[in-house]
Amino acid sequence: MTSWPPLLVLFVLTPLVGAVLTPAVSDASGRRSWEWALGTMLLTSAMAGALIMRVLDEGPFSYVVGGWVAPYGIELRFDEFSAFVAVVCLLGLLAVIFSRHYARDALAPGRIPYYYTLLLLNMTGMIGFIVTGDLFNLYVFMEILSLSAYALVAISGEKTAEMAAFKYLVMGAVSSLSILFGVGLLYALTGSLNMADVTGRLAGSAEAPLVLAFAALTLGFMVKSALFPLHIWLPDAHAIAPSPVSAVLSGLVVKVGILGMLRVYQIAYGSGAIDLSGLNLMLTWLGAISIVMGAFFAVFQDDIKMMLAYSTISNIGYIVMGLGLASPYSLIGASVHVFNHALIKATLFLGAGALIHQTGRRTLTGLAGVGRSMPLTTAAVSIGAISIVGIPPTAGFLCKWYIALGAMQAGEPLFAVALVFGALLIFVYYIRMVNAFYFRKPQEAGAPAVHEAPATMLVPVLILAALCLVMGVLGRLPLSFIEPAVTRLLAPLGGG
Amino acid sequence: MSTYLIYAVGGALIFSIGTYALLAQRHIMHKVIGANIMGSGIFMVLIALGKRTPDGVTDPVPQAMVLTGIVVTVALTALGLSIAKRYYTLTGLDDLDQDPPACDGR
Repeated sequence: MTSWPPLLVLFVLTPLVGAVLTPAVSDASGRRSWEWALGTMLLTSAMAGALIMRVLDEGPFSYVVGGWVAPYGIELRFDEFSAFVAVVCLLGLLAVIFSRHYARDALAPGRIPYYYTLLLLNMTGMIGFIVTGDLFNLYVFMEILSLSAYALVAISGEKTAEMAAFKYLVMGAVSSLSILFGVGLLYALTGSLNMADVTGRLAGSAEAPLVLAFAALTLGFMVKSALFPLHIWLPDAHAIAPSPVSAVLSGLVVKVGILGMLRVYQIAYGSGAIDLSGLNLMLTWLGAISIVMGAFFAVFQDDIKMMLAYSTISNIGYIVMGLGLASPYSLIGASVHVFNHALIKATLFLGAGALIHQTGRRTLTGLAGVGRSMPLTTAAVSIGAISIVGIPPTAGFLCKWYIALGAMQAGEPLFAVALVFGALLIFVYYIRMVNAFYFRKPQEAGAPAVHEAPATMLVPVLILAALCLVMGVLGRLPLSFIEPAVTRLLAPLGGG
Repeated sequence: MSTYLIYAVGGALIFSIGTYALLAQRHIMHKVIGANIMGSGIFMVLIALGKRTPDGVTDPVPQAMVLTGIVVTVALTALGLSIAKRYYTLTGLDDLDQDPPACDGR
């Protein structure tokens, strides 16, 4: 299958070219831009499918850009962790479909082509970040991703949106520079930017600069993934952005920090040049604090999207705690939760977006009794909420179960307690939400009659809700997929 | 004191000044300028890292990284300034601490 490799390059280039051409294809009022973005995302998704089939067949593979071999040129690499592109493409596609009516109502017509441009650029950055095998390339794609995310938060042009975007931008600037510094240091130590090459050359380098490099990289990725106490930018940015953007930000963009940490771990574990136990302990504690704090703040929110944004912090806590515990089970749980949380959070944000779009209200008080007029959407949101609590038949259960098992395996039952406590707090706000939807009477008598959202909004929400259930039942599928990758990651440590 | 060391120490100093400006200053323009100063600090340290070749010739790769970093910072600055301008036009405020009146955002 040697004729296949260029597909990996085309996979990165397609959304990029699509993004740049969107304003040219559409007219001034934004017509045709939706169709164009949809076509681009369909093509990209098809490529993602082909690439994943290949990694299933023959394991990780790579492609050398421009024919310059690895240590000098840029290498694109596709391994099991790269299978996250499946979720990226799926969410990207559904967010574009959802945007059809949403963008027309929420944005000025002149901004619609640029909205799709930014969304496709965001996808480019995400895909590039996941498939690149080069450290500096990683930084560049991360910047494409971050800059388009800041702009997407600000796109509605309202006061609060501008403020949230600015906060996000300031924190993002610090983290980007910190990552650039870490990459530069790693280059100075090894003379290479290729990840596999760096891993090989790190052994025997001085301890102090190595610690500094990994600390800078971890700090940068912690900000990107909004780990407590660096989470302050997240609630505003995710709550105020247009709902499809919130779904992409919460489901995918924060995961970039996690995937970045996984990459750094691959280098650190692979080289064996540095002892990460101190860093792991810190990540485990910060993860546990994030779980509890995120869930605690979420309980007191009345704004539905604000509640979901805080719940993202809590779920990032689960993933980071799983990474920090560094036992095989917790790493598997964390990796699978990266996939499943993306699906669950997208269900919730798109569902909330549909509710807000139809009713014009965004607080739980204002949405009281909406279950009667929009039964399908509220059912989907409820399924998403059950998943996020982690009740057995849904997608959220399996990952949390594995992370808890991992905590036991690592001999730290205390963290399993933090996990269960967090889940209980999450259960409280789930009850609040369901109670508001189904059991409270609508507050205002003069409220306009609402009905279900148009099909372009309803169908993505229902697909995602169905996936939340399916992934719970077919939980072994991603598990069997991620297990070899985790085993390989931990192999230098003696299998864990 | 070698040129490289001067660059590295100077870069670290500039980086600290930038970080202080970014985190402690309230004015939005100061924050944007702070981010730029921080970037310059990092870039100077990266240039100093070009010392690593044994034959005394400066390694060009960190310089290429700095060039790309500058491009990214320009984009970041442009976006930051346009957001700041829009924010000022809408609210008449020049810092983020005073909450603007609530709006009915979606």
